[in-house]
This record gives sequence, structure tokens and C-alpha cells, in this order.
Amino acid sequence: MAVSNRRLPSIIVMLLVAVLAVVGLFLVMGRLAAVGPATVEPATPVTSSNQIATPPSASNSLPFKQETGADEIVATVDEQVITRQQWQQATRLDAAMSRVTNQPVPTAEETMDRLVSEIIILAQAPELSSPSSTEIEERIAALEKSWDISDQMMVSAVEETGLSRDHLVARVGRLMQVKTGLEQLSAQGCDLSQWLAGARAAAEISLYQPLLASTLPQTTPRKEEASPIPPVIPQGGEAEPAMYPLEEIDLPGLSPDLPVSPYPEQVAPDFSLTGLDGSALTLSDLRGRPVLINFWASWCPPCRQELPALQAAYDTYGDEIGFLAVNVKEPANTVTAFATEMGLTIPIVLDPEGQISNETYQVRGIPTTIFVDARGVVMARHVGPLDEVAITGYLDPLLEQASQNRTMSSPASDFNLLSAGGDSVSLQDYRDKHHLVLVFYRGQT
Amino acid sequence: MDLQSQYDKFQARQAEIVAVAVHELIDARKVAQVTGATFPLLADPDHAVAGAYGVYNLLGDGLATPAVFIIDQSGQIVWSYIGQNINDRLDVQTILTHLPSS
Repeated sequence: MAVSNRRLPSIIVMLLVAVLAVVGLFLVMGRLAAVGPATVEPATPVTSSNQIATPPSASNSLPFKQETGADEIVATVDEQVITRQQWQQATRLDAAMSRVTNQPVPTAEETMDRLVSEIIILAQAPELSSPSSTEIEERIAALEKSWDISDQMMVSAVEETGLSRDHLVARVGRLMQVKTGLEQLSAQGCDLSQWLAGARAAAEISLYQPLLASTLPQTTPRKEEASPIPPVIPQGGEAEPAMYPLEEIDLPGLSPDLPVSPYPEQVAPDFSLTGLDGSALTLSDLRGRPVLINFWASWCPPCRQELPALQAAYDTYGDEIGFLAVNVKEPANTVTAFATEMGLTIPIVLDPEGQISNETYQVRGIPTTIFVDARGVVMARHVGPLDEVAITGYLDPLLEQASQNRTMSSPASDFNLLSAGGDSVSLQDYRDKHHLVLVFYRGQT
Repeated sequence: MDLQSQYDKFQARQAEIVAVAVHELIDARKVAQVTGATFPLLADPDHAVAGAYGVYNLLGDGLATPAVFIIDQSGQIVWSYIGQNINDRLDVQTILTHLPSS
């Protein structure tokens, strides 16, 4: 599909650039590396006074029972596990490498995304062995030479992040392995982008950590009378203040946005899927209300863990906000049984081939939640589990925007443009005289 | 969406039509010639108006999304429709139905 082909090359590019530089570390996790404790407590009680009156989220509102510390799982790819320690170490090394090479630091989602891709690439070549320490040293030396830095400088950069040269060696070794894996695939005549897309779609990827809160880029000038849509920043609990918001970083030479679509500020692609009762549900039928689209599966632990929060949100907001829980690639029986057992009333639809999830919405790992406003435009994309505080944080601005439209009190922005006929036409010309049908078109009405 | 042929129905309801596209004035003139539209076709080359109405670049292609806004005589937006793709256009009847009963 056009969308995924366009996006995937940038992952491949990221991987290849990373691996070829053997730095592999345009790290994604620079920001997280700078954050302190490795605690996993999700939302702590709501402290902000401008939250609407929802029941306060207690720190154990999520049935997360996470082990704090190095072994804590942050993601799983089929049977493989990515621990917090692995994630943090990769991040820190990448941050060090970025500093040393003056590269911008990638976002958390990119890093996690890359780690997942690495696992998938290595999984298809289990016979690949790690390079020898001589080979690794040679590669490190070559890198340092090409960057014109001394080993001392490299090691200092690494040590500044709290890691040691041994960590660097291990990471470089792994990246060399990944590179070999990619080369093998290429030698087999594989189109790497397509192969990776397919492999990822077939893999069961679950993400335990809330990774990304896309903030609204303020790209369009807003007239001062119209209330601007505030950036959708979920009011996270104190435990993870550094997770939100994440900056969008422009990586030179790469696709300017993350290889995921649809982006915030673009219309949510329409789709029609079958519900558990066999009836069809179409996204565009929900136009006129904000919509929360959640991609999930019953085998995915963080999906299960966020369900109570989603169900609670549905109970509270279900009249004003559309909810669609898109189940990814499970048979109807499994989903029905699960929904019954959990007492779920959120509208559930099935995506048995994963086409909407993997292709149209480029879901890279579950759970992923898309927030769509009443116009049908994607306002935020959240990767990883949600809690009540985060959900409220995303929904509040959407509700406010929707209620403004509903009360129809938004004054139309004035304009003054030249017409094909040569006159200057402004909204004021019609005031008190006519209603005006203002049509935006693309060349042909 | 063929507004020109139904233009009289709009005028009968005290409504006027204005069509805006993110293109240069010369392109607006071409469209005027081709379609024979008698209502104003406006050029919004720096997409300021498309941006003010929240329809600029929603499809990621630097143009306005097809959209319709009905603005009543007091200057309030009373109805709007934003297309989900470049071919998502309304039929004229739908727009007529949403005109305010003057």
C-alpha cells in the first residue's frame, strides 16, 4: 500500500544509517536517558486543578504490577523481551554518540521502534553470531577515525551517561550483527522495506511503556477570536513528567516525521470494520464528535492493563465521544469471549488481517490510540498504554473544541481575497445581506 | 460538486456562494473560464484563509481539504463539512438542506 511503502523506507534508512555508522545510535532515547529514576509507577493522583471532575487516579489505578528496575519489561516482540535496562542503555549510548557526532537526538518512539526492528531482523537469522572483539574494536577505531575523535573522547561521552566502554562494545557488536542480517536479506534479493513491513505486521509487538504523546504543531495561524485548540498534552502524573511532551525532532536526511501515519493535523483515514455482532461500523459515521480509536489485542498485557481506564472513559464520555476499539488480528471467538469475560461495553471492531491497523494506520506496536477531533482530523497519537489521567488530558481539549462548534458560536474568520473577476471580496460584503456558502476546493468545483 | 447549475436555488434562500482554493489568481481565472462560474472564485495563494478555517494541509499535500462552511448573515459559522480525502465532496442538496431557514 502506498502509505506503508512511503513510510517504511525511512525506517530502513534509519536502520541502515545507524548500522552503517555503527553508531546505531541516533538514539532515540536521549531524553529518557536524562530522566532519573527507573520507576514504572503510572499516573499518580491528579494534582492539576484544571482537570475536569473525574475521579482522581490513584497510583494503583492501573493494575500494573511492574517490577521496578532493570528487569522490568518495556516491550515484547513475539517471545523476545526488551527490558528497561536494555532500552535505557541503548538510549544513553545513542545519546553519547549523537553528542559526539553532533547529530540530533531521536525520540523515544523512534528508539523503541528501532530496537523492535533490530529484534525482527536478527530473529530471521538466528545463526548469526556476534562479531569477535577484534572486529568490534576495529570498527570502533574506524568510526573514531572517521569522526576525528580520540577513543578517550568517545569513552568520555559514554561515561558521561553513566555507562562504560564495555557497554559501547556490546552495542556496537549487536549493530554489526544487525547489519549482517540486513546484508543477508538484501543478498537474497529482498526488498528490505517490504520485508520489514511484512515481518513487523506478522509479529506480535506489545508496548508496555507510554512512549509518545504527539503534541499539536501550531502550523496554522489562528484568529484571536476563535479559541485555539490547545496542544494536546496529557497531564501525566508526577512519576513520569519527562515522558510528556516529547519534542518532534527533525532528523536531517530522513523523512521529516516519524514513519507513522496518519500524522496529527491530517484527516483520519476512513475505514469500515465489522463489530462483534456482525454489523459494520464506519469511522466517518462518527464524524461530528471526537473519536478515540484504540488498537489492541487480548494477548497483549499492556492492552489488558489499560482496558479499565478505557472502559471508565467510555462510561463517562461515551455520549459525547465516539470510541472504537480495533482488535488486531484475532479471531472473533477469542475477542468475544474476552470482551464478555472483561465486561467490556466499548464498541469493538475486528481487523482480522491487520490491514487497517498495520497498513492504513501504521500501528507499530500495541496498544496505540489515535485521538480524532469532531472534524475528523487526527489530533494526537499515543503509543503505549494509557491511564485515566492521560485519557482525560487528551479528551478535554477535544471536548472543548467540539462544544464550541456545537453551540455554533464560532464567528467566521474574516477574509479579503481577490476574485477571478478582478474584484476584492471579503466576508464583510455579505454581512447582514446574505448567508454565505464558503467552499474550499482544489481546482474544480 | 456542481454549484453553478444550482446557484439559483441558493440565491432563492438568501445565500451566496464563494469558492476559495489555495492557488494563484491566474489559476482562479482559468477555473472561472472553464466552469463558467458566476459566483466569485477567490485565490488564497498564501493559504492564510484556508489556515484560518482550519482546512489547510489536512491531507498533507499543501492544499486545502475540500470543505464547506455555511456562514449566516450575522457572521457565525452554522455548519461545516471537512472532506476526508481529495474526492470527498458533498452533493449540493446536502448543502442546501443545511442553509439557515431565513
